[in-house]
Amino acid sequence: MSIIDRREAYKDRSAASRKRLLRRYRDVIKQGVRDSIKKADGFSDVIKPGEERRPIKIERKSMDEPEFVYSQDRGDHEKIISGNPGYISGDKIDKPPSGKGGGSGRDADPNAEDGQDDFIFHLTADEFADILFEDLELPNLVKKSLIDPNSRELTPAGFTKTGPAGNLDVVRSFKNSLGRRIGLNRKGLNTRIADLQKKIDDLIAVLEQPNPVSEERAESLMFDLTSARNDLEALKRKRRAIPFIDEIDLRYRHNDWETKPSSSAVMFAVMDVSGSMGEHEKTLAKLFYLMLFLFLRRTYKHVDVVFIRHTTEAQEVDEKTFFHDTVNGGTIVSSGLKKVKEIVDKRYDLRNWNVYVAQASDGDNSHSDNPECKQVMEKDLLPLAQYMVYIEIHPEIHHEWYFSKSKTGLWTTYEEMLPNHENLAIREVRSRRDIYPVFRGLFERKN
Amino acid sequence: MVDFSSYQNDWTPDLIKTYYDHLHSIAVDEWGYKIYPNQIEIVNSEGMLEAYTSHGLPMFYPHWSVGKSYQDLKRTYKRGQMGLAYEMVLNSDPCINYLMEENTLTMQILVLGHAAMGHNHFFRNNFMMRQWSHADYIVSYLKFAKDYVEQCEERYGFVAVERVLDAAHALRFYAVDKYKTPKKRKGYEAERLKARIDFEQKTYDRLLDFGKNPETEKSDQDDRKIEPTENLLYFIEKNSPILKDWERELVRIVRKIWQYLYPNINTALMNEGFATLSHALLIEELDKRKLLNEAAMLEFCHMHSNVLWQRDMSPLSNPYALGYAIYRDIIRICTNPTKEDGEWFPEIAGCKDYWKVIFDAVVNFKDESFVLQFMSPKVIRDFKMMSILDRREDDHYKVTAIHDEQGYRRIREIMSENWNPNVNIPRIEVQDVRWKADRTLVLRYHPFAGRSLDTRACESVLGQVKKLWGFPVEMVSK
Repeated sequence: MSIIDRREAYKDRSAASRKRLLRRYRDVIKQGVRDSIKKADGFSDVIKPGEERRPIKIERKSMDEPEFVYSQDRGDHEKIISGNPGYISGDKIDKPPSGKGGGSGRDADPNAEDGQDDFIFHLTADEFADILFEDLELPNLVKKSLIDPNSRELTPAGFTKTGPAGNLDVVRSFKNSLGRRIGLNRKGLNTRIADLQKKIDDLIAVLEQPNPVSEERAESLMFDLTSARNDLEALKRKRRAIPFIDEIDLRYRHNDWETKPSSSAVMFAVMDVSGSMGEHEKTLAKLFYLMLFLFLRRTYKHVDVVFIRHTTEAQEVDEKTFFHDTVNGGTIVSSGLKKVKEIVDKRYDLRNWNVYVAQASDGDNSHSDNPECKQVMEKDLLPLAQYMVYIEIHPEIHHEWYFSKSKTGLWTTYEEMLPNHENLAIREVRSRRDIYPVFRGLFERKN
Repeated sequence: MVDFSSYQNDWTPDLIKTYYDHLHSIAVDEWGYKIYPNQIEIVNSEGMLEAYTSHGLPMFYPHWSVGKSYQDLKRTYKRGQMGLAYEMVLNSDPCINYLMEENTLTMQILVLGHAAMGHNHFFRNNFMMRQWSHADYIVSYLKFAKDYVEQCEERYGFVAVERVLDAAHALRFYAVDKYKTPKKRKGYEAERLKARIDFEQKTYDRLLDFGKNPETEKSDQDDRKIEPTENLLYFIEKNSPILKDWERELVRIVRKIWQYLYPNINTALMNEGFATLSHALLIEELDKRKLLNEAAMLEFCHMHSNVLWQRDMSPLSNPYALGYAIYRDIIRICTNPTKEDGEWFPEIAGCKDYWKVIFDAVVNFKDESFVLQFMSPKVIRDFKMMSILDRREDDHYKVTAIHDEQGYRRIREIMSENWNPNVNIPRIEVQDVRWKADRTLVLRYHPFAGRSLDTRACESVLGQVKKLWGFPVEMVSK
């Protein structure tokens, strides 16, 4: 009989089959993914890395594995059941109104499903992102991944024999000492010495007792005593010679400098929360930020998010306030932009951080502010950002009505900068349906 | 030496070995069990779920249905609607037993008694198991199958492979010639395959092969007589006009695996009943020899009753409960018979050597014959069994027999039918192939008890079969 530990071996054994399931139902799953983005309520809904969160429903019908079965409406099905409450042979029992029969005994197929529930399938966060962002990539701009002597950090790097006292690893040192003592037979020495000492004391006690013992006995006892005393001396010498802990046992923790390539991104979500931005507009902006965040997370190991909302003034807020609080006021877009620069200067060293800016507004900026925006963009933001996206949200109005498509001042301002700045993009959004296509349009892989 | 007075419930490999040796010496040395050598594999609950979805086989070719089962099971398990099996065991030599790492020591002992002794003995001795499941090379065959499927996917694409596998799966219960013994094959599979693939490469386009005249080849088949066969997969594998060599091999793989699994559906009752009996008797014996304490016995009783009374099964479709009851009753009939037993079981009543009777049953019977032979009136009374006739066209059920003198025989017959897959799975045969006309494959359904085939399901299956046959497929029934 042999025992084998297979706890690690069988992990993810069905991963290959799961992949094939995904492939087969690709289209349904894709649709499910898009639907769940539309229903997402906020970042925390979507962002739980490593956990299976997104349930996708697939109709049972399409997962049918057909087999030959008896029909339910004809034929004799006789079956044994237990617990007869008192019927006798010949009795008739009414069938329940739905006409559901008793079935034909034991279900021969262990895979038969009841057909009631839809098949619910959970995607992991990674699979979800994969499907959502299929065929998309970040624009091919120079990414910051300098190996700069200043972007280094201390990481644990093993053990050494010498070092500062504060780094002494006591446990390891003692382990070495133990090994050495065992090897040199020093372990248990104290016990042996104590035992010997006791033996000697006992012998002396016997020899010194008032009732004299016979001569031979006394002689042999003396012999024992002498040899015991010699042994004790030898052990004590050994104990002196072999230290309990020696310098060669000592071990110290060692740390080393490691250069860290930049793998972090920070995303600034700048939202115009002035009076002209209603619930509809804010929801669309929210969705857009969500997608950008998920997308960035695929490329960067670490993504920070900074929420900035502005009316005539800008403030940095937390996620909850950003999405749920209402504020009213006029619109000075440049305040938001300046805030971005301010925070970058204060907290984000450009050598280590890739900056992305996503701005949402309805375009209704104070007229006099537009040149100021242009200034801030060209001088401050565009030089430091990897990529900046501006989405202008318009009310959802039927096209037959909305025939005068006049561009907003802000739009025009940004439009002017497009030819000179590759890392700027502007898009218009009207409804939920637009968000995903717009997003895809921005990041389509160019072949 | 383990101190049994301070029984601890966390298992260690040493404790397992110790108890295994006890179980072995009781079951094998004293009672006469004959088993394959045991191999114990420790898995966690993930591993157990995965084992479930691949029908208990340690590996399986990748297929979307496995992914689907896994999701379904995982969800059911997480909802608490189902408990994981504490054990899973493979009919192989050596016999592979999966033990869950989360089990307590008592559970592990129960599992060892159940699977490593009970199931193992059954696998090794039952005639159906020996006939259809080749324990000696199942594991290497599974590995070959997995590799082959993956190679085909790489070479011919996922979609092409899925098409064949899906279609073959639809006929998975028709993979066996019930009345013929399969020949014993050795493990030449890999070389055969390589040769086949090479041949396939060389003769890419048959029509351009000037050596043979495709016309004369086909006409040979026209005159071939079709013997009715239930092994639909085999028939298609050998005779399909359109399958390529690698596709035929895929069909063969599905057929071989389901042939291996075929005895399981014919002996579920006997197998689980025997395994349950084994663990119960073994634990009782361990207790008698003071190798377990009260806490362990309490836990065992709890587990044992959970096994017998499972929430989602009625006691009579629970093979553990019914099987165990029948075996227990055999012991009673042999050691302490009543007058009734003397009338019903004249050969074994009072014979005292119940192990002989039980081992004999294990070797020679399958579920439907086991019930017919051994289910006693006492068991029928204990469960208060009754037989109910559901004639679908009627609006009422009719009670046809109850647990009284007039009813015992009928109840036994019907119960035997209920456990007979030949009854529960519609009987379909190959009737004919119209070679000279449009090459239609004609299948025939043999009705049982006035039942008809579900039309929609039938059409779906025929649609799949058509993918393998390439020409029309029809179903007739008389």
